[in-house]
Amino acid sequence: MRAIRRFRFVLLAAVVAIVGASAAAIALADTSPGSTLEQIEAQPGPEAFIASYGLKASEGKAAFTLQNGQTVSVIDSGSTRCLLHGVESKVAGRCFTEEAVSAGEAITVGDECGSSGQNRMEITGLAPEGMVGVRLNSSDGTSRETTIVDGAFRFEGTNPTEDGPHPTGVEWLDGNGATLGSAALPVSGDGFCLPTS
Amino acid sequence: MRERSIRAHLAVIATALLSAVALSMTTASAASAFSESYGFYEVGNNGFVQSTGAHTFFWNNGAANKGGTLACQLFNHEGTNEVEHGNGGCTVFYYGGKFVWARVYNESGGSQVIGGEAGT
Repeated sequence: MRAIRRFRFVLLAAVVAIVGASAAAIALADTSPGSTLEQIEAQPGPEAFIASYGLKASEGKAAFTLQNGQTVSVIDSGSTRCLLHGVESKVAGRCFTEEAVSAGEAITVGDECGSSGQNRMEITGLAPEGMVGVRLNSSDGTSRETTIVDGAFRFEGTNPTEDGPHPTGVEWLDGNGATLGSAALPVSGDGFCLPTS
Repeated sequence: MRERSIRAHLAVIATALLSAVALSMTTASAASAFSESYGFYEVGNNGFVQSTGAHTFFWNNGAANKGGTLACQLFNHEGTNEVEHGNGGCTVFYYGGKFVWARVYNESGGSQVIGGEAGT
């Protein structure tokens, strides 16, 4: 009789645990991280933006390594994709819905503007699902193309000179090279290098 | 009686050892990592928030309450100027080891609350 009671108790505890774990998993999946300001307030550290989605940088799949030594990796959690940049043991990145990716919100532009560096510029981002290539347009009418690796793309070069041409935006290309959409860069014209005074 | 005294001494020694280990781990952690949150107030378009001091910052996160374009910067007056532009948020790395200041620029086109967190 006592054994039956104990079995019932264990069974009940197991059911409660499973229900609780499922509820927690659903709550995590539905996490709405709010504004990025709330994200860095809630989760200190370089991984703040990723952690706010309940994801870990270690889940990233390596896509490529940039000339400046940074690694670029991608997390695809189904409803959300994240673009990560890593240096040594530090990894940072942000996560986006497919709609935001199509709008170009997952594009970042890195500038090494100081006199002590090599004036490298990296344009990295996530491309919309189904795309095969990305075209980068420049203010002088020229363009160049790259392929997409694990959903991510990169263009590397040097900072625009003061009066020289500068990148203006990207086009999403399908397997036939046709443009299926476009997006602006998160920097324009004279905004590439920021002052230090 | 003597056995009880030995046990008491062993307990004190064990507690002291554990405390010393815990303290050394805390101190080592504090020495290897420093971070600063800064800003978190409203600035206009092209305005910025800046760390209170320069440090050997390795990374700098920037964020905003409304979104739009932001730029994260780590710089000094000796030729270092690393910038990353992003939508809604940004992170820039600097691995030159020098003392640098951290900034986040609001390039969204309007006023909003922006903040940053920079760490070693």
